[in-house]
Amino acid sequence: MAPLGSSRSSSKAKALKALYELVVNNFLATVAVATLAAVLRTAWPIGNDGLYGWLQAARPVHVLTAVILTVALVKLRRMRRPRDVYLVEYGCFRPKPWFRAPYATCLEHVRLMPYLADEEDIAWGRRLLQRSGIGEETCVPYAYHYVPPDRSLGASRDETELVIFSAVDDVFARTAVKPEEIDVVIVNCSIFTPTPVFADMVVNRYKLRADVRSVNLSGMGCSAGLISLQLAKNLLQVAPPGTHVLVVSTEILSSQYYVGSKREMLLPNCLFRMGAAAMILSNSPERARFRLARMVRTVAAALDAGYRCVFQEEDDEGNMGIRLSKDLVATAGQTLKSNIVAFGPLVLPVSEQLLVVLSLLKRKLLSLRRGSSKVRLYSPDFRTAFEHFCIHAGGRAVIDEVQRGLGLSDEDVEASRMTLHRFGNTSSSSVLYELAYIEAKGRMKKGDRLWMISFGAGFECNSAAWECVTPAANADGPWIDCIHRYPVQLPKVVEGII
Amino acid sequence: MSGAVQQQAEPAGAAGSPTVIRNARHRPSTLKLCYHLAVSNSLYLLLAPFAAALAHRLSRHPLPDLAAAARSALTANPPLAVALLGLAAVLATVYLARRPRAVYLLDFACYKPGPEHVVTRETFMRQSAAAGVFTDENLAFQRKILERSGLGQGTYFPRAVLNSPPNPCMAEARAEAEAVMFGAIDQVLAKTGVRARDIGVVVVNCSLFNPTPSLSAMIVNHYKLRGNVASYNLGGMGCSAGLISIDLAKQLLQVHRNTYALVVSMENITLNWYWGNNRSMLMSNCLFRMGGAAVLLTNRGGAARRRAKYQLVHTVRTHQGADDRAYRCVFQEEDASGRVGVALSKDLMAVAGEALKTNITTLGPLVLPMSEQILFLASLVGRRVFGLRSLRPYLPDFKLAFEHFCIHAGGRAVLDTIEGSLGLSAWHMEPSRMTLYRWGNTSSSSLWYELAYTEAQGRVRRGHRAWQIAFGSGFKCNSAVWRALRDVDPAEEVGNPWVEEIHRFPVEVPKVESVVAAPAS
Repeated sequence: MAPLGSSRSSSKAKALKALYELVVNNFLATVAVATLAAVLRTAWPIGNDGLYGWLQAARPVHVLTAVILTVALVKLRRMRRPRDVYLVEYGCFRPKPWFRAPYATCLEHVRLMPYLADEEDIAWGRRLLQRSGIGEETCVPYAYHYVPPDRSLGASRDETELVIFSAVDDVFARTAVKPEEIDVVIVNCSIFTPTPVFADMVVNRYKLRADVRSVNLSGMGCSAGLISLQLAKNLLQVAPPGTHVLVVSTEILSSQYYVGSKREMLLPNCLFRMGAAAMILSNSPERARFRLARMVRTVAAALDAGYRCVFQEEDDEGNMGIRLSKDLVATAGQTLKSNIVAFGPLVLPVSEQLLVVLSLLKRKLLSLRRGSSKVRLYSPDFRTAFEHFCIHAGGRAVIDEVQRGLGLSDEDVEASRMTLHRFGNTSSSSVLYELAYIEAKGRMKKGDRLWMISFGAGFECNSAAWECVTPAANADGPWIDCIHRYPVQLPKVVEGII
Repeated sequence: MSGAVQQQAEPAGAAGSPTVIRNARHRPSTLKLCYHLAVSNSLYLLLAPFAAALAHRLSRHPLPDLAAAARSALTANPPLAVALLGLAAVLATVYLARRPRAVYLLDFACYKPGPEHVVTRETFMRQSAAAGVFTDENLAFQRKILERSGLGQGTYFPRAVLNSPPNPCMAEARAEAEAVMFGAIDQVLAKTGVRARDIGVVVVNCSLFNPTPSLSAMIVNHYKLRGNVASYNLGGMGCSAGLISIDLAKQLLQVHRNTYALVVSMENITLNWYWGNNRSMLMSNCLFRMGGAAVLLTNRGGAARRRAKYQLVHTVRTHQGADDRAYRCVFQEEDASGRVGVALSKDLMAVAGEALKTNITTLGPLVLPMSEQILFLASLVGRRVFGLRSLRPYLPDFKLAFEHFCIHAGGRAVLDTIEGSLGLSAWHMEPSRMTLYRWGNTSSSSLWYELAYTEAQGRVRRGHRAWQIAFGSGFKCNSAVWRALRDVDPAEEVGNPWVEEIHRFPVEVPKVESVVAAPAS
């Protein structure tokens, strides 16, 4: 048990830190209060007659011009800020139970295709699944339930229509925005691109207007959801108020099943799952649920290591697959770090930034004095900037690494871990499933800030900061039938898979 | 050349000496021209009497008196004068800040493959026959399409399709993409002198080939672009995707200040050869060829604005996807034997016509001079309100709005349809037809080959307006309107893919060109 004296000093330190944060973060307010106090002290008491007399003395035309000038300056200042972008509503694809692929099903299917994998590969696959953090309820498309999987164009189209139309139906059911009000539709899917493309499919199914602007992003990896979001934000900032953008993120798995035997290309088969999400964004605050604050995109494709770490190619036998290279983790870590370094100054409160700057100065000074001195930089506490975190559910190791690097608690990354468990790695739509988890748990309050971070092929890392305007009206969402069972404890290694 | 009347040979029919046709450019009649000038300058004509009266009134007082009167009015009340000046400054700033940023086209480059990629009609038939998958009827069908296609003997194919046996694979597709994109981008960067690290926006469109990581990541990797470059890869958006990319780059340049946007349009042939026997899917084999273009846009003023060739005036996008018939007219699917191909439906021409009509309904009021709009409105009112059914619907003359027309070289039938619908002349259609002849259907980049042709022929003068229009799967129809900021001298256009051979053009393309049957080997 710690001695009483130290607990008192630690509580004193906490109080001191809180006061420091209050003063520094509200610096302008502090200065204004101090100035007002000084003015009032010297000019007290001010009578009403004094003020009235001063107004009377001025000529009316001067007063009027002064008023107009002030209003014009305020409007000018308001205009220089880019328009705010809001999330009106979002919806996710809710897979039905018959799409489930428990571990036993996965292994049984692979055993029924001995030409694909030998016992060593199956053992490797089993070890992978045991440690993956993926649960037994994750879903795969119809095509994967066939032995061998149906990789035809028709199967891919069926999966597309199933997931995209479900997600878009879901989002339109939860909001008053009608399809005719959509001005821009952005769809992203990395691997599969039919003609006519997904954006055209959405226009056709929902009978969007003839002047709708459609954009379809392909090949942009697991972070394409946030890339689409940034594109939507840019388009909304220069569009007239009342513009609505529909963003759909998905990954279509049917045609990309790898039928070769290279281990580094088998990983997507084991880890990717079926999913899709749709968002409606707008630049007017009515009916808005979240406000998009800042976004930072970091592209590491200029480096060969970054460009080649997730690479679609044919193996020696001519089978198409996506190869994940050995230095994926290192590249991901570096890109993540660059992204956070760029994102931090935009979102951290001044108090944290000041501490980082001070620690930088300290390191600089010490290195000048004693040569190279390894002083650890102060790592800022992002929990002062955000209440919730949605980290792309790329895999268990990734979430663990990000948690460790940012100093987050288990509650902070619970949404990511539970999404990985329940839905698997659904690629670009995973961050929205995580948001749905936080809302289903009732943890999102008005004014709460959220950080969505995702990374993927390219190599790209994207961050988005949101602020909640209106929490969810009800608990409806993709988690509604299972939220009462979460959170679950994830063992390091799942036992009992045969 | 711009003032003279063009002389052109009579198309196939008069087999002997070429006849001279006056007014081959279909210029408007004198009466129409006078009416057009009167309406376009109506504001000046109306204001002229008032201006004359004001000048007469002011001329009564000597100039120093007027200056003294103005000065005394200002000095009588300095605070008011300052406040008014301040207000005027604020209002001017507000007005200027609200205007959309101008987008300029610095330069563009079209990729010209080497002679080893040339595919003559005979080579095409030989490769198709050697593939061993097509039935004899379908080989004859392809020959018939080729003979009537309007394609010449100098179009290009990637090496994977020209090899014997052909070896389409991912590596070859990537090699084709690299050759086309890097070839075009190297040229445009050399022509403009822009450094790769100054590029802030990259938009790439390629319809049928979308690897992971994307083609835009390939460009970022090869040219070592900045870490915060806004790169986007549009996939599957069809032959009109080039103008979609331009529109997207325009929107992005409103947000990203003082930067360059690189737009790359291409299509990939290697993995999209159809190896089956469904007739509606064989058309694309016959028409699509290798090609690509890179365009450098900017929103910078100053030196960049002075060097720029064109300014982007309007973009209009129309999407007919809500109509099922239009949505299905270009559809990628598996045929009966499970092979993937892009099927073109029989309704394609009708759908294209409707899409064109929708697009020009939006575009017309933006670009047509007031004289044409009045005539159109008058005919509309006459027909609807007064019930004068005998009055023909007035077709606005787009030749008064544009000097140059770049119509996507989708195929001969499309060009014929548009020529009839818009009442264009052979001179106006020349860039499109010659591009189809020389390069084939290079999908989204064909518009740039056509603009390059217009420049190589020395037709582009300062103030000229060019209209680019393209159709594609979806069904989408997109237009872009450019205005030339300076004369374009063909002698200075070093990288233009047409300059070395422009003396051979225009070429008379017969309705049917025979394909020499290959000797049995």
